[in-house]
Amino acid sequence: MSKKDIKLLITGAIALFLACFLGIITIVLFAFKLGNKAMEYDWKGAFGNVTEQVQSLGD
Amino acid sequence: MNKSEYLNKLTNELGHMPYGDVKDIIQSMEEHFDEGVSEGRSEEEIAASLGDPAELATEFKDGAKFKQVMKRRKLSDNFKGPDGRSRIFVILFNIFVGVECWLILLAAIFAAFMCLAGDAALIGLIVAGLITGVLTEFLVPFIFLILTLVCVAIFLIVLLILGIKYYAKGLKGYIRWNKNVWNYGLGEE
Repeated sequence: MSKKDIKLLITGAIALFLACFLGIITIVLFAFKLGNKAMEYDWKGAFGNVTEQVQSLGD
Repeated sequence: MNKSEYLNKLTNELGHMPYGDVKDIIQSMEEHFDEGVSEGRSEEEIAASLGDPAELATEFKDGAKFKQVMKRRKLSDNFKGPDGRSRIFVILFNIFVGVECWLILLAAIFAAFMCLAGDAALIGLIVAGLITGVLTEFLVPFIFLILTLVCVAIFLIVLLILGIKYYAKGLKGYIRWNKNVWNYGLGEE
Protein backbone atom coordinates (compact mmCIF):
# COMPACT_ATOMS: atom_id res chain seq x y z
CA MET A 1 0.00 0.00 0.00
CA SER A 2 1.47 3.34 -1.04
CA LYS A 3 1.57 6.50 1.14
CA LYS A 4 -1.11 8.05 -1.07
CA ASP A 5 -3.44 5.11 -0.39
CA ILE A 6 -2.85 5.32 3.36
CA LYS A 7 -3.67 9.06 3.27
CA LEU A 8 -6.86 8.26 1.37
CA LEU A 9 -7.73 5.54 3.89
CA ILE A 10 -7.23 7.94 6.81
CA THR A 11 -9.43 10.54 5.03
CA GLY A 12 -12.13 7.89 4.59
CA ALA A 13 -11.91 6.81 8.23
CA ILE A 14 -12.20 10.43 9.44
CA ALA A 15 -15.18 11.00 7.08
CA LEU A 16 -16.88 7.86 8.42
CA PHE A 17 -16.31 8.94 12.04
CA LEU A 18 -17.68 12.44 11.30
CA ALA A 19 -20.66 10.94 9.46
CA CYS A 20 -21.53 8.83 12.52
CA PHE A 21 -20.99 11.75 14.92
CA LEU A 22 -23.04 14.23 12.86
CA GLY A 23 -25.65 11.55 12.16
CA ILE A 24 -26.29 11.08 15.88
CA ILE A 25 -26.52 14.87 16.39
CA THR A 26 -28.96 15.07 13.44
CA ILE A 27 -31.20 12.35 14.90
CA VAL A 28 -31.22 14.09 18.31
CA LEU A 29 -32.06 17.47 16.70
CA PHE A 30 -34.89 15.94 14.68
CA ALA A 31 -36.18 14.19 17.81
CA PHE A 32 -36.19 17.51 19.72
CA LYS A 33 -37.93 19.38 16.92
CA LEU A 34 -40.55 16.68 16.37
CA GLY A 35 -41.04 16.33 20.14
CA ASN A 36 -41.70 20.05 20.42
CA LYS A 37 -44.15 19.87 17.57
CA ALA A 38 -45.89 16.93 19.22
CA MET A 39 -46.16 18.87 22.49
CA GLU A 40 -47.66 21.87 20.73
CA TYR A 41 -50.14 19.78 18.76
CA ASP A 42 -53.78 19.99 19.77
CA TRP A 43 -54.31 16.33 20.58
CA LYS A 44 -57.49 16.98 22.56
CA GLY A 45 -59.06 18.88 19.73
CA ALA A 46 -58.06 16.27 17.17
CA PHE A 47 -59.38 13.35 19.24
CA GLY A 48 -62.43 15.37 20.25
CA ASN A 49 -63.34 15.63 16.57
CA VAL A 50 -62.91 11.91 16.10
CA THR A 51 -65.06 11.18 19.19
CA GLU A 52 -67.78 13.43 17.82
CA GLN A 53 -67.65 11.72 14.44
CA VAL A 54 -67.85 8.26 16.01
CA GLN A 55 -70.77 9.34 18.19
CA SER A 56 -72.61 10.80 15.20
CA LEU A 57 -72.10 7.52 13.33
CA GLY A 58 -73.65 5.66 16.30
CA ASP A 59 -76.67 7.92 16.36
CA MET B 1 22.49 -12.42 -30.41
CA ASN B 2 25.27 -11.78 -27.88
CA LYS B 3 25.00 -10.26 -24.41
CA SER B 4 25.39 -6.59 -25.34
CA GLU B 5 23.03 -6.84 -28.34
CA TYR B 6 20.41 -8.59 -26.18
CA LEU B 7 20.72 -6.08 -23.36
CA ASN B 8 20.55 -3.11 -25.77
CA LYS B 9 17.39 -4.47 -27.31
CA LEU B 10 15.88 -5.15 -23.88
CA THR B 11 16.76 -1.62 -22.70
CA ASN B 12 15.00 -0.15 -25.75
CA GLU B 13 11.92 -2.27 -25.12
CA LEU B 14 11.83 -1.24 -21.44
CA GLY B 15 11.99 2.42 -22.48
CA HIS B 16 8.73 3.52 -20.81
CA MET B 17 9.57 2.08 -17.39
CA PRO B 18 11.15 4.22 -14.63
CA TYR B 19 14.93 4.60 -15.05
CA GLY B 20 15.69 2.97 -11.66
CA ASP B 21 13.67 -0.16 -12.53
CA VAL B 22 15.34 -0.49 -15.95
CA LYS B 23 18.75 -0.15 -14.31
CA ASP B 24 17.91 -2.90 -11.78
CA ILE B 25 16.61 -5.26 -14.48
CA ILE B 26 19.64 -4.75 -16.75
CA GLN B 27 22.00 -5.27 -13.79
CA SER B 28 20.22 -8.53 -12.89
CA MET B 29 20.34 -9.63 -16.55
CA GLU B 30 24.07 -8.92 -16.72
CA GLU B 31 24.60 -11.04 -13.60
CA HIS B 32 22.49 -13.79 -15.17
CA PHE B 33 24.66 -13.71 -18.31
CA ASP B 34 27.87 -13.72 -16.24
CA GLU B 35 26.64 -16.72 -14.19
CA GLY B 36 25.77 -18.59 -17.39
CA VAL B 37 29.18 -17.85 -18.97
CA SER B 38 30.97 -19.03 -15.80
CA GLU B 39 28.98 -22.30 -16.08
CA GLY B 40 30.40 -22.76 -19.59
CA ARG B 41 27.43 -21.62 -21.67
CA SER B 42 27.86 -19.19 -24.55
CA GLU B 43 26.23 -15.72 -24.54
CA GLU B 44 24.16 -16.72 -27.59
CA GLU B 45 22.82 -19.80 -25.79
CA ILE B 46 21.82 -17.76 -22.75
CA ALA B 47 20.17 -15.13 -24.95
CA ALA B 48 18.24 -17.85 -26.81
CA SER B 49 17.06 -19.41 -23.52
CA LEU B 50 15.75 -16.03 -22.40
CA GLY B 51 13.62 -15.70 -25.53
CA ASP B 52 12.53 -12.59 -27.37
CA PRO B 53 13.62 -9.36 -25.57
CA ALA B 54 10.26 -7.74 -26.47
CA GLU B 55 8.32 -10.54 -24.72
CA LEU B 56 10.64 -10.38 -21.73
CA ALA B 57 10.15 -6.61 -21.52
CA THR B 58 6.36 -7.07 -21.61
CA GLU B 59 6.58 -9.39 -18.59
CA PHE B 60 8.63 -6.81 -16.69
CA LYS B 61 6.19 -4.06 -17.69
CA ASP B 62 3.31 -6.20 -16.34
CA GLY B 63 4.97 -5.95 -12.95
CA ALA B 64 6.80 -9.28 -12.83
CA LYS B 65 9.99 -9.39 -10.76
CA PHE B 66 13.32 -10.65 -12.11
CA LYS B 67 13.26 -13.88 -10.05
CA GLN B 68 9.70 -14.69 -11.18
CA VAL B 69 10.60 -14.19 -14.84
CA MET B 70 13.70 -16.37 -14.54
CA LYS B 71 11.68 -19.09 -12.76
CA ARG B 72 9.13 -19.02 -15.57
CA ARG B 73 11.91 -19.28 -18.16
CA LYS B 74 13.34 -22.28 -16.30
CA LEU B 75 9.91 -23.89 -16.08
CA SER B 76 9.23 -23.39 -19.78
CA ASP B 77 12.65 -24.93 -20.55
CA ASN B 78 11.77 -28.03 -18.51
CA PHE B 79 8.14 -27.99 -19.66
CA LYS B 80 6.99 -31.46 -20.63
CA GLY B 81 3.53 -30.48 -21.90
CA PRO B 82 0.26 -29.20 -20.49
CA ASP B 83 -1.02 -30.88 -17.33
CA GLY B 84 -4.69 -31.85 -17.75
CA ARG B 85 -5.40 -31.86 -14.01
CA SER B 86 -4.30 -28.26 -13.49
CA ARG B 87 -6.44 -27.13 -16.41
CA ILE B 88 -9.50 -28.92 -15.00
CA PHE B 89 -8.73 -27.28 -11.65
CA VAL B 90 -8.61 -23.82 -13.25
CA ILE B 91 -11.93 -24.39 -15.04
CA LEU B 92 -13.75 -25.79 -11.96
CA PHE B 93 -12.24 -23.23 -9.59
CA ASN B 94 -13.38 -20.39 -11.83
CA ILE B 95 -16.86 -21.84 -12.34
CA PHE B 96 -17.58 -22.49 -8.65
CA VAL B 97 -15.45 -19.92 -6.78
CA GLY B 98 -13.35 -17.45 -8.78
CA VAL B 99 -15.88 -15.80 -11.08
CA GLU B 100 -18.52 -15.56 -8.32
CA CYS B 101 -16.11 -13.84 -5.93
CA TRP B 102 -15.05 -11.28 -8.52
CA LEU B 103 -18.68 -10.65 -9.51
CA ILE B 104 -19.69 -10.12 -5.86
CA LEU B 105 -16.86 -7.61 -5.44
CA LEU B 106 -17.91 -5.87 -8.67
CA ALA B 107 -21.51 -5.74 -7.39
CA ALA B 108 -20.24 -4.20 -4.13
CA ILE B 109 -18.38 -1.50 -6.08
CA PHE B 110 -21.49 -0.86 -8.18
CA ALA B 111 -23.63 -0.68 -5.01
CA ALA B 112 -21.22 1.84 -3.48
CA PHE B 113 -21.47 3.90 -6.67
CA MET B 114 -25.28 3.82 -6.56
CA CYS B 115 -25.23 4.81 -2.85
CA LEU B 116 -23.02 7.77 -3.77
CA ALA B 117 -25.44 8.81 -6.52
CA GLY B 118 -28.39 8.51 -4.09
CA ASP B 119 -26.47 10.47 -1.46
CA ALA B 120 -25.72 13.29 -3.93
CA ALA B 121 -29.36 13.35 -5.07
CA LEU B 122 -30.57 13.59 -1.45
CA ILE B 123 -28.16 16.47 -0.74
CA GLY B 124 -29.49 18.23 -3.87
CA LEU B 125 -33.12 17.72 -2.80
CA ILE B 126 -32.53 19.02 0.74
CA VAL B 127 -30.59 22.06 -0.52
CA ALA B 128 -33.38 22.76 -3.02
CA GLY B 129 -35.95 22.38 -0.22
CA LEU B 130 -34.04 24.81 2.00
CA ILE B 131 -33.62 27.35 -0.81
CA THR B 132 -37.30 27.25 -1.79
CA GLY B 133 -38.33 27.49 1.87
CA VAL B 134 -40.21 24.18 2.12
CA LEU B 135 -37.97 22.82 4.87
CA THR B 136 -37.23 26.02 6.81
CA GLU B 137 -39.17 24.78 9.85
CA PHE B 138 -36.44 22.13 10.39
CA LEU B 139 -33.53 24.31 9.23
CA VAL B 140 -30.88 23.29 11.81
CA PRO B 141 -31.50 19.49 11.68
CA PHE B 142 -31.47 19.59 7.88
CA ILE B 143 -28.17 21.52 7.82
CA PHE B 144 -26.72 18.81 10.07
CA LEU B 145 -28.22 16.16 7.79
CA ILE B 146 -26.50 17.78 4.78
CA LEU B 147 -23.16 17.77 6.66
CA THR B 148 -23.68 14.08 7.53
CA LEU B 149 -24.46 13.24 3.92
CA VAL B 150 -21.38 15.15 2.70
CA CYS B 151 -19.22 13.07 5.08
CA VAL B 152 -20.89 9.89 3.82
CA ALA B 153 -20.19 11.01 0.24
CA ILE B 154 -16.48 11.58 1.04
CA PHE B 155 -16.30 8.13 2.65
CA LEU B 156 -17.96 6.52 -0.38
CA ILE B 157 -15.63 8.33 -2.82
CA VAL B 158 -12.58 7.05 -0.87
CA LEU B 159 -14.10 3.57 -0.79
CA LEU B 160 -14.70 3.66 -4.56
CA ILE B 161 -11.22 4.97 -5.44
CA LEU B 162 -9.48 2.33 -3.32
CA GLY B 163 -11.98 -0.36 -4.27
CA ILE B 164 -11.61 0.14 -8.02
CA LYS B 165 -7.80 0.41 -7.76
CA TYR B 166 -7.36 -2.77 -5.74
CA TYR B 167 -10.06 -4.61 -7.68
CA ALA B 168 -8.14 -3.99 -10.92
CA LYS B 169 -4.83 -4.89 -9.25
CA GLY B 170 -6.27 -8.06 -7.71
CA LEU B 171 -7.98 -9.14 -10.90
CA LYS B 172 -4.75 -8.70 -12.85
CA GLY B 173 -2.88 -10.84 -10.32
CA TYR B 174 -5.67 -13.43 -10.32
CA ILE B 175 -5.55 -13.70 -14.14
CA ARG B 176 -1.76 -14.08 -13.97
CA TRP B 177 -2.13 -16.84 -11.34
CA ASN B 178 -4.70 -18.59 -13.55
CA LYS B 179 -2.32 -18.42 -16.52
CA ASN B 180 0.50 -19.90 -14.42
CA VAL B 181 -1.64 -22.74 -13.09
CA TRP B 182 -3.03 -23.37 -16.60
CA ASN B 183 0.46 -23.56 -18.09
CA TYR B 184 2.64 -24.98 -15.32
CA GLY B 185 0.29 -26.56 -12.75
CA LEU B 186 -0.41 -25.82 -9.10
CA GLY B 187 2.26 -24.73 -6.67
CA GLU B 188 4.21 -22.70 -9.24
CA GLU B 189 4.32 -18.91 -9.09
